[in-house]
Amino acid sequence: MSVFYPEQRPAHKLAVIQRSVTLPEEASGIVTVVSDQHVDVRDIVARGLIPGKFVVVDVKAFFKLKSADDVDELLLVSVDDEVDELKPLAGQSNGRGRRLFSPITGRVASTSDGFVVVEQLNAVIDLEAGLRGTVTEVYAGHGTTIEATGTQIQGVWGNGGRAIAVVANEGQNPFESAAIDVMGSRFSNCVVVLRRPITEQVLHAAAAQNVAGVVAPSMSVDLTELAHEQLYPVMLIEGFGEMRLNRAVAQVFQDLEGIQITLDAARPQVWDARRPEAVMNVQPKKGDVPNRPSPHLTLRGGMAVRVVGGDYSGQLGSVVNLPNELVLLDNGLRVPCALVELSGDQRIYAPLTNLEVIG
Amino acid sequence: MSILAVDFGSVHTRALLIDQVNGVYQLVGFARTRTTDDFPVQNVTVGLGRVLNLLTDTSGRKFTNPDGRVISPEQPDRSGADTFVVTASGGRPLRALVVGLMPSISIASALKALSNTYVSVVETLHLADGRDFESRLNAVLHAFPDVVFIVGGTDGGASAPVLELLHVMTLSLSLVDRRRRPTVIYAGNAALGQDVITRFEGVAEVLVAENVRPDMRTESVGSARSMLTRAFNRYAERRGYGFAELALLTPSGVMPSARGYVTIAGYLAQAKRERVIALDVGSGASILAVANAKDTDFSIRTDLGVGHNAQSLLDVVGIDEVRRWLPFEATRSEVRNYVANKTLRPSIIPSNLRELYLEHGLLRAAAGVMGRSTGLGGAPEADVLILGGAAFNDTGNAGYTALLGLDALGIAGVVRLYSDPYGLTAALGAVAASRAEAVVQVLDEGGYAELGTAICVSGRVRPDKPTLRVVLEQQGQPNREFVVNGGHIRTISLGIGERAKLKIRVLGGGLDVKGRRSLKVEVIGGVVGVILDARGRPLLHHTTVAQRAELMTRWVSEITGDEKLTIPAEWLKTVDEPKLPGEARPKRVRRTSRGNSRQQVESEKAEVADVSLDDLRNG
Repeated sequence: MSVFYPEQRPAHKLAVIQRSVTLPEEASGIVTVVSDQHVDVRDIVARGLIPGKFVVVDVKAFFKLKSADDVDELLLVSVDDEVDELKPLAGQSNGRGRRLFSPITGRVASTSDGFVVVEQLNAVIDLEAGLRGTVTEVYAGHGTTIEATGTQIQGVWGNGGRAIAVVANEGQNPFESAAIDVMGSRFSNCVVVLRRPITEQVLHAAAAQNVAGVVAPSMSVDLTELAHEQLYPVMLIEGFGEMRLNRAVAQVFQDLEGIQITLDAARPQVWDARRPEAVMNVQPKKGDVPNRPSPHLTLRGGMAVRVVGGDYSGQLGSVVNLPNELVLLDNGLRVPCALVELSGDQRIYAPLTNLEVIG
Repeated sequence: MSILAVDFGSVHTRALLIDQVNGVYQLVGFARTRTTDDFPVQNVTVGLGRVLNLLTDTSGRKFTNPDGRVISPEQPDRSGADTFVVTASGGRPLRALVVGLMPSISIASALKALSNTYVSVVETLHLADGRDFESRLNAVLHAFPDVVFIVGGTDGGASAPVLELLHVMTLSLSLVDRRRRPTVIYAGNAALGQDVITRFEGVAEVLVAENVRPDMRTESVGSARSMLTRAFNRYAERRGYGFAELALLTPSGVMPSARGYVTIAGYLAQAKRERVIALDVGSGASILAVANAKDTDFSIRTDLGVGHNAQSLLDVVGIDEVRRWLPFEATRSEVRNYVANKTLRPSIIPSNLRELYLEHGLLRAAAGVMGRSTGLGGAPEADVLILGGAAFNDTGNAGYTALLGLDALGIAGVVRLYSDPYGLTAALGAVAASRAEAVVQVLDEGGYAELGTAICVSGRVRPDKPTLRVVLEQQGQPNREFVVNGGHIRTISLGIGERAKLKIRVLGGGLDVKGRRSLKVEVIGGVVGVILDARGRPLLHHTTVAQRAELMTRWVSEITGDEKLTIPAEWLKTVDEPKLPGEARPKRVRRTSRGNSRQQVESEKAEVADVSLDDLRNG
C-alpha cells in the first residue's frame, strides 16, 4: 500500500498546541500582538469590527447646491469623526442657522461627491488568546497563531460560543436531574462533560443551571437550532447522531475535573479549517515530551485511531495492518482499508479515510 | 515534451504525468493524496510535495529539487517536466458581485461569463433592482465580494446609466478596508473603458475586458473569462492555505479545474460529431458539460456537492429527493445526521449499507439538479458519458461506477461510458490551449478508463418479461443471442477497444432504444463490456421502498457480478419521525458563562467600543 496520511484530531493530555485565533472573515481588524510575544489566557490578541449599516446623507440636495464642490465649505465633520443625532454634519456653523444633523450615531465614513456617509458602529469584537503561550504567526488584520503546551481535545462541531471555566464531568447521575439549590447546582459556571448524546432536556437543563458550557459526544441534527440559541458554548466530539464518548477522550476530561479550560466551540464553516476545541495549559514534568502534531504523519501498524462513520463510529482501536489490496466492504464497495482491532479484541476492516489519529 | 499537472480538489490532490511514448502523448503516471488545507497543515503546498513524492515512487522520476521547488523544464536526467500546470476546484469559491443594466441582457451575459469558474454570485445590482443609492451601497459593502464584475451598455451606446452605477460602486469600494478591496472587471460599453480606470484609480484594481454585449445581437464572453481567470489568481494569492505560493509556481497561475470539462466535452463532440456529456459531482462543487458538434452548454454549481457542500445540496433538493433513491425507510433525522456528518468530515466514505445508499442518494439528487439546470430531460440521450470525481470513481468496481453514471442522469439510448479516476479532464483542459496535440493523443490513447457501451431501454417495462433481444456479432466468433427481461441488467464481456455489432430488438409495447424498436449498432467494449439495461426509463418511477429494496440491490449485483445484498425486513417498516424540539422551554437565566449579568457585559462592550476606531480601520 502506498503511503497514507490520515486525518488527525487530537485528544491529548500533553501536546504542543498551535491555536489559531482569528476574527470572523467579514470583520476588519487589527492584531494587537507581535510574533514571539508571550500572551496570557485572557490577553486580547486581535480586535475587529463587522461593518454596520451605512447611511447616505445628501448634503448637496439638502442645501440645494449646484455643485458637489460647494458642499466642502459647509461640512462640519471630517472622515472618522464620531457623530450622533445631535451632531450637525453640515451647515453655516455648529451652533445656529440651517444645519443638517446626523440621522444615526456612528462614524463618518466618507465626505465626497456631495454626500456624507455615516456608518453605524457595531460592537468591537475582542479575541482572547485562550491559552498562555507564545505568538508564532501573525496574520495582518486577521488573527494569530499561539503555540503553547497543554491539553488539547478537538471536536467536530460547535455552536459558536466560547467560555473559560472549570470542568465538571457528569458522573453516574444524569446531569439534567441535578438539583438546583440557592447557590446553583454543582454544574453552575462549569463546562459540563457528558458521555452520552445531548437531548433537548440537556440543553434546557444546562441553561437553567447556568452552566459555562457543554461538551458531549453527539446530538441529533434536529437540535442544532436549539443549540445555536443557547448562550453557553456547546461542542460535539464525534458528530451528529447517537455516538457515545470514547474512553480515551472521557479519560482526558476526567483528569481535568475541577481544572479551568478554554472551551472554544467554533462553529464549522464550509471553507474554514478552524475546529472547535477544549484547551488548557499544562507544564510538562521532567521527562515528559509533549506530542506535536506532525504534517508528515503517516498511518502505520500499531497506531491508535478513532473510527468515524458506519457501525463503529467513535470507537477506538489500533491499526493491526494495512493490506495492499482493496477490501470488499459489507456494502459492496471496494476501498483501501486498515485492519483495526477495537476494544474486546474485535477486528474490523475500516476505510483508511474513516480513521482519525487522536494520540 | 513532458507535462506535469496537479489538481487541488476539496478532498484530493492529484498529480498526473503525461509524456511522449514513441512520439505519442500518453498518461504515464498518477498519484493522489489528501488535500492539505486542514489541521494540522493548512497549506496546500504540503500536499503538493506529498503527491509529487508519490508520483516519484510510481514513475521513478524526480519532480522536485532538494529545496522543494518543482523542476521545470525537464532535465537531461529526466527529472522534472517541461510543462507544469496547476488547477484547483477546492476551497471557497470566488465571491462575485455583478453590476449591469438589465437582468435579461447584460446581467445574463455576465452570468454566462462567470459560469465556467468557481464563482458564487453574492449580489447583483442593476437599474431595475428597485434599490436606491443607499441600499445599493449597503448591498455592496455587506456582500464582501472578491471580484466586482461590471457590464452594461453596447459599444458606443448611451453611457449615463452605466455611469450612474459606477458612481455607487466607486463610493462603496472606497469605504472597504484597503486590504480587502475586490478586483474590478469591466466588460461593458467599450467607450467607457478608460473612464472606468480613472474613476477607480486609488480605489481598486481594474481589469478591462471586451464588452460582453458589444451590440444587442452579439454576446462575447471569452475576453471577460480571461480576466476572470486573472481575478481567480489574485484571489488565490489572497486566500491563504498556501494558494499564494501555488499561484507563483507556474506562469499561468492556478486555473479552474472546471474549464477542462467544458473544453474536453466540446473537443470530443466536435471531433467525432457526437453528443458528449461530462459530469463530475465533487465534494464542494458539481460540473456538467453537455456538448454537441455545434455548441457546449454547461453548469457549475459551487453549492452542490456530496462532501463539503452536502448540507447545501440537501437544502437545495430537499430530503424527499434523496429518500426517493433509498431502498429502506429513513427518518428525516437520519438523512440530516448523515449529511451533517459528511459536511463535517467530507472525506469519509460510506462504510455500511445504509450510509452507502444515503451517499448515492445525494449523488443522484445532485446530478438531477445539474441535469435540469442544463435542460437535460428525464431520460437524456448521449453518445458519450464521462464520469469524474471520487463519488463515481471510488467504488472499487467499474460496473458499480457505470451503474451510478447511468442512474445519475437516467441516461437512455446507446451510450459509451468513460470514467476519469485520475482527474485527467482538469489537466487536459489546462493544457488544451498550449498543447492541443497532447489532448488529442492522450484521449486517443485511452487516458480515460473505458467502461464499455450501454444499451438502455426507454419506457415503462413489464417486470421480468422479455424486453430486449440482442444478437452480438463479433469478427471470428459465432453470433451470440441474449434476452434480457424487464427490470434487469445484463453485461456481455467485450474487452477494452474490442468492437462488435449488435442487432437490437425491443420487445413489449411502449418501449424503444433511441426511439426505435429495432436497430443495429456498433459497440466498443471496456472494463465492464456491453451493458444491456432493460430497466426502462424513468428509473424507479413511483416505486415503494420494498420494490426499491429488491431492484436496487439486484441491479448492483447484476452489473458488478457481486453477490446480491439483502435489505433487512425491519428496514422496510414505516418509521415514526422523531419530534422536533418543542416550543415550550423553561425560562433561561440570562447570565453569561463567566457569571456576569447581561448588563455588565453590555457595559463592558460599550467601554471596548471607545477604542480608537482609526486603529481598527487602519490596522
